[in-house]
Amino acid sequence: MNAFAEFALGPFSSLWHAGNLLDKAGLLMFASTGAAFALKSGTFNLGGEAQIYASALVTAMILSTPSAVAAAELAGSGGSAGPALFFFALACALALAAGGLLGFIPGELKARFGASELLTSFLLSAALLPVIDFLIAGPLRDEGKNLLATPAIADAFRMRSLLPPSLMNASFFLACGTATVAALFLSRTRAGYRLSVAGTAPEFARFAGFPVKRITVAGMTASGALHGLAGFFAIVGTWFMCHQGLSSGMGWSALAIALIARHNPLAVIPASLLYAWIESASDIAVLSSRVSFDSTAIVQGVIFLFISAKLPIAGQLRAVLKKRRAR
Amino acid sequence: MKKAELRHIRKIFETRGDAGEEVRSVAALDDVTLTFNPGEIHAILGENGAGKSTLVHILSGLHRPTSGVIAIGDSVFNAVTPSQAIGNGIAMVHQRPLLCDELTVTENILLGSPGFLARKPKAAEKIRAAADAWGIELDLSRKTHTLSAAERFYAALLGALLRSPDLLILDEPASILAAGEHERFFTALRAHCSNGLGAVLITHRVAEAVRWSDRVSVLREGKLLYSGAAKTLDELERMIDPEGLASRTARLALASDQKEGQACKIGTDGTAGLSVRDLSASPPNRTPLSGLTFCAPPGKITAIYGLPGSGLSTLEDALSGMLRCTSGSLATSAAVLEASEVAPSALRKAGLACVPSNRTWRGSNPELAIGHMLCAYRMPRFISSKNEAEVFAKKILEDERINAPLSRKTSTLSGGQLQRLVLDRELAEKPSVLVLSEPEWGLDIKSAAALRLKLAQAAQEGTAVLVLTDNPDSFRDPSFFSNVLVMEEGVLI
Repeated sequence: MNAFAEFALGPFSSLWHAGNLLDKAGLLMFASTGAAFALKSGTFNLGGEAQIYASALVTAMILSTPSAVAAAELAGSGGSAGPALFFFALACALALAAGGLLGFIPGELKARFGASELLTSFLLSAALLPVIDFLIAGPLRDEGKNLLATPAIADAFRMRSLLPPSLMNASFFLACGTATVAALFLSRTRAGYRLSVAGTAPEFARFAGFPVKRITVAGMTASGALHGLAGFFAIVGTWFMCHQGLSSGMGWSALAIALIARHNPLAVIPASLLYAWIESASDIAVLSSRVSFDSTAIVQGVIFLFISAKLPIAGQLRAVLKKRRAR
Repeated sequence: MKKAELRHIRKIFETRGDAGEEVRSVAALDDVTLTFNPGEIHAILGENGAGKSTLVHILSGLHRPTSGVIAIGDSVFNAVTPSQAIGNGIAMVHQRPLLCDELTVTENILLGSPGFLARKPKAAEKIRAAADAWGIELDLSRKTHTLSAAERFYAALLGALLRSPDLLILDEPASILAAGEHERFFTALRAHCSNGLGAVLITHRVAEAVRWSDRVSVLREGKLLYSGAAKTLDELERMIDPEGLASRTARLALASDQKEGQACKIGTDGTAGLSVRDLSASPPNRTPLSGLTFCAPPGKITAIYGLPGSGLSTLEDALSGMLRCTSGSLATSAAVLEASEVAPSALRKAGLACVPSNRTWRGSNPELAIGHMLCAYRMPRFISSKNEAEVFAKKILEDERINAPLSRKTSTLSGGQLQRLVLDRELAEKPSVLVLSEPEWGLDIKSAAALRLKLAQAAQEGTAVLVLTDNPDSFRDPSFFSNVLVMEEGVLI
């Protein structure tokens, strides 16, 4: 019982826990908006892990180049903030590009050769993860520290915490904004309309003359880029360095969230918060009571099973109740 | 053999409107009592939306009646489930059966069959015996995605027969069978019925009902008007469509059609209408097209008639850009397209519109909202909550008297409604060429007459109308067309 209370309320017991929950939810939001985007366009992006991880590595590397460090020092010592902002923007653009490229490749393979993006995106990701692991542990490692990580980025590049001492920063609001913009794009623009129609009704879309192949590529690329955004903010807002195993399942969680949200980017916002809450709750429960890590995983699984099964069951219940009332 | 009875069946459908709108109820069936006897072919006639499908769906367990009972043999049910229906000897063959595309015919038939082990060779033997008894020629080891519409129907029929039913429900079988096959199929059905099999035949072809059935029931707007021995054609037609709209509009269309010779010169510049030169295509597993040359002059209704397998469906795909042609060219008043340039978007830009034979998946999609289906060509770049596309879609629904919110899925529309909406959507683009494939499929007399009127109107406004059809009696009156071409084995003869 005690463990259960810890489980449900743990994340709200302190600013530290609550802030970190929001931070985690923000990162998940970026990535699951990406996953939802691919699903909407009728594709499955299973390469989220590498898209996040690679973008995070790119961000960390750009921001620890000597010229970036110099620009940060200039900004930190009261000089012009211009160069530092330039590197910050450059890192963001390259992170988007890295994620986008990893989405574009399976998208293009599907459009051109009909290769299943399910397989290609997964395989590309699976092949890339150990390469990135190696780069972090080897050539790109910060030799001065005892961690399997790249050098930490300078203070000037770090996003300020809005709920100290937690990690929560402005990226949470940017994530909510991104999900909202994605939802508006899908429901309120012609391009978004065509993307959704091509996703649900591919033959009809082709018949109506929509550029179905280009839509496939665009959907996968946008999905990759949004995962890249998660990688970028994981560095500048949360960890400040790219450590081994940084993505650690975030890509898969994002996919689960997008499915729970039924591919709707707006629903991704509450779904990410819920997911982050359950994850933080189980982490805290493990720390504060003698609950084993595996049993929390089971609790998580059961909760998500109920969430995803909830809607059809609710529908049936409603039908049964209605019939009762009618009689 | 058991007798099946429906007693005082009522079925109310409730449709939920857009937010804030009232829930509407529609009585699809209103106090219908019918008996289906063994050894009889019982035809159910009625126009689109009369409740024919709902009636048999209740019998086969797909729908629950709102009230009334179903009696099969000695058992009485409030509602049957599909497995109860099959268990009690009621099997249904759908017009466009859902088959698993990647499985063979045998495997498809075995799906859902009782028993733990699927004994394929033994089952195949049984299926072959059934096929022989019904005179069906079908390679059981073919994957179902290679089958034609008629072959898919036969595959589903064999699946139903393997459950040795007492009552066989057939949904519009005639519309997908070629003329010769049609005769053979009904002869076989007759023979089996004289051995005690009962058959329910849903059809909108009155002549077919008169010729083959022992008993006829007529439904209109959910009410049973008549059930008894087959009457004459005229009597039945008057019952189904008392206003006589069908004959009135047929005359109108005829009057508007001035018969002239073929005023279309192929190959000259400034071609109007559609002219096709040397079009060839060779898609796998389908009838190839070899060097088709023809034209559809503007202001005229041209028909191309061909039996299933003649290459007519290949031509449909070629003309809608869904199939890459190997050589030849296509010209409209707006553009000349070489075979390599032919794609759906290029064709639409050239002023060509198409109503495909596959309205469900190609002309639309069951998962799409009605509004999204109608506005495919008209979505503004930025969609505000009250935009012209929405106004356009609402107007179409209003003109067609379809009482449905735009957000509802197209799967809730009847086949006839969907056909009308797809046609309206294509016509609204004011095409210079309109290609229609099997436009009469699934339409009742009244809707078919309305379709004829619309086509005649479009032709009068200068559109070149091209109708691809496998039904020799299409549009009843051959003078409706200004020119009829015949296709056989991929060439025009």
